[in-house]
Amino acid sequence: MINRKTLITILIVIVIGLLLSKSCHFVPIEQAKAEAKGKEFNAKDYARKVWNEFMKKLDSISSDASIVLEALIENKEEAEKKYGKVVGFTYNTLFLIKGKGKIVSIDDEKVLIQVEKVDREIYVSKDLIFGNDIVNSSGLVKMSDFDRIYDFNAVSNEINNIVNTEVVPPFMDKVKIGRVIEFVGVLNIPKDEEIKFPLQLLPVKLNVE
Amino acid sequence: MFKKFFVIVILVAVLLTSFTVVAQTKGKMAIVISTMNNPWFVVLGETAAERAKQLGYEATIFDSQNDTAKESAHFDSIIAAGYDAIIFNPTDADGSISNVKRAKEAGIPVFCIDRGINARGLAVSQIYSDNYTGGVLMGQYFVKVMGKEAKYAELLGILSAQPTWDRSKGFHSVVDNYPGLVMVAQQTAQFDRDTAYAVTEQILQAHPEIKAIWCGNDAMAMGAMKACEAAGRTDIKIFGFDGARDVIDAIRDGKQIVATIMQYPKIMARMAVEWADQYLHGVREFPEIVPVAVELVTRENIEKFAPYGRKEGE
Repeated sequence: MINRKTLITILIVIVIGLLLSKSCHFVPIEQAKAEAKGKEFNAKDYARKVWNEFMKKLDSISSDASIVLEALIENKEEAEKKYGKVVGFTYNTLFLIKGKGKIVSIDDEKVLIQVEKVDREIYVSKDLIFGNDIVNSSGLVKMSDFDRIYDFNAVSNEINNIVNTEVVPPFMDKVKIGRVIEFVGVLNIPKDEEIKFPLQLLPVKLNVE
Repeated sequence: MFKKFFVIVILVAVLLTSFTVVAQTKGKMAIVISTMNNPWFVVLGETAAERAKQLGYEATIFDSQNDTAKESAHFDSIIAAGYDAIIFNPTDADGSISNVKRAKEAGIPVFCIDRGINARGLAVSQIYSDNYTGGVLMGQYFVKVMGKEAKYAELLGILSAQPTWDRSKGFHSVVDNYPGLVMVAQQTAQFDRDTAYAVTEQILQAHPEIKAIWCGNDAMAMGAMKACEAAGRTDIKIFGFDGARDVIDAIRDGKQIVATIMQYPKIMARMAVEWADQYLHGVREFPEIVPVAVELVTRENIEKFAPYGRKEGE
């Protein structure tokens, strides 16, 4: 015969059990981890999508290198207005340029290129690319697209990684003095300083013909 | 009869005076600053207040003392007192969101300066230094000065503050590509000079082999420098971030702080106040995020800079 006290205890256990079964359910830890990971922002995937979009639009959003360089020499302020891109409050202007040129020298640090149709030189550094210039020049990603500025910076970093691993190394493998190259890239020009050639090109696309 | 007339004249005069006072001010702007215990933030807050007064507003500075609870209480007072706009330097990128939300619900526009919040659609605009780029610039200079092999320590700012991680991530996006540059200690010193002194003392004891200390702001750089001097370790190179007066002087004097990143607190403060004024006059089109340029300051280009900005005319 069950006494009253045992009966109450059993009832309490049943009630608690029912409440627990309604309020929570158990999920295998691997599934939970996978779900949590899925919710995290994936900068690498996001950057790849932006990069693919960038490649599609590259030709239409970049300006002819020889025209931009000539304009910069002639009237820097006008060139900035006409071809430049400014993000926020800055002392620098970005130019996304495309063109052809001939490799005139190669040393430990850089590859020097004589730009076609204009008597000026630009160079591609053998060092890694850092910062937000490339992503900002694309106009495809804005800081306000993200709740956390941290995520914008992570995307920018991943885009730089694409350049550092997929654009520059294959180019460096093929460079040879005298070869003609096709390029698209970014110039970062200080507003308050005179232009000093050769200018560094932050590469976005490099093809050796 | 004359007495009655005299009382009426006085009353009219008093009324006229008060109307004149109301007519002279366009409204009230609250300037909420994370801490006024750091000269850099004093410049930020006072510049905003000065600009607001120039534009005809009453301006009050509220010091949150790096405490989100105090900051929240300030917002309660500001909303209750019916301020017209808030110029806001948040203490916490996540913890400050609710304050901006409450102000927005009360119809008070908020303009964030120097630091942002991790939310969009609440503040009218967030104007802050491009801290990530600052970290990148410092990382590149760090590699140039230290070479590709050295052990170093990092002093982080307040862990919940957005600039802490933007600066650190920017720096590491460069330096971590060089395996010979090894970070042996990374600790928070809360953006505070005294805390940085104490933390650096501990680091020097635990890791005497370090050759450099990268600090997320100039107050910590000064604290680190003092600790190094006290320990006779003037060989250690220190890297800061802000462009504060004592660090600009230290770089110019050739002390062991070799570089900093110049931020522009005056530009940010004035821009925010001017935009708040425009907002109160009906303008609604403002960019939500405005990164403000930062620049590397070293012994090589120190002459171009003054504390908290470029020299006049530069």
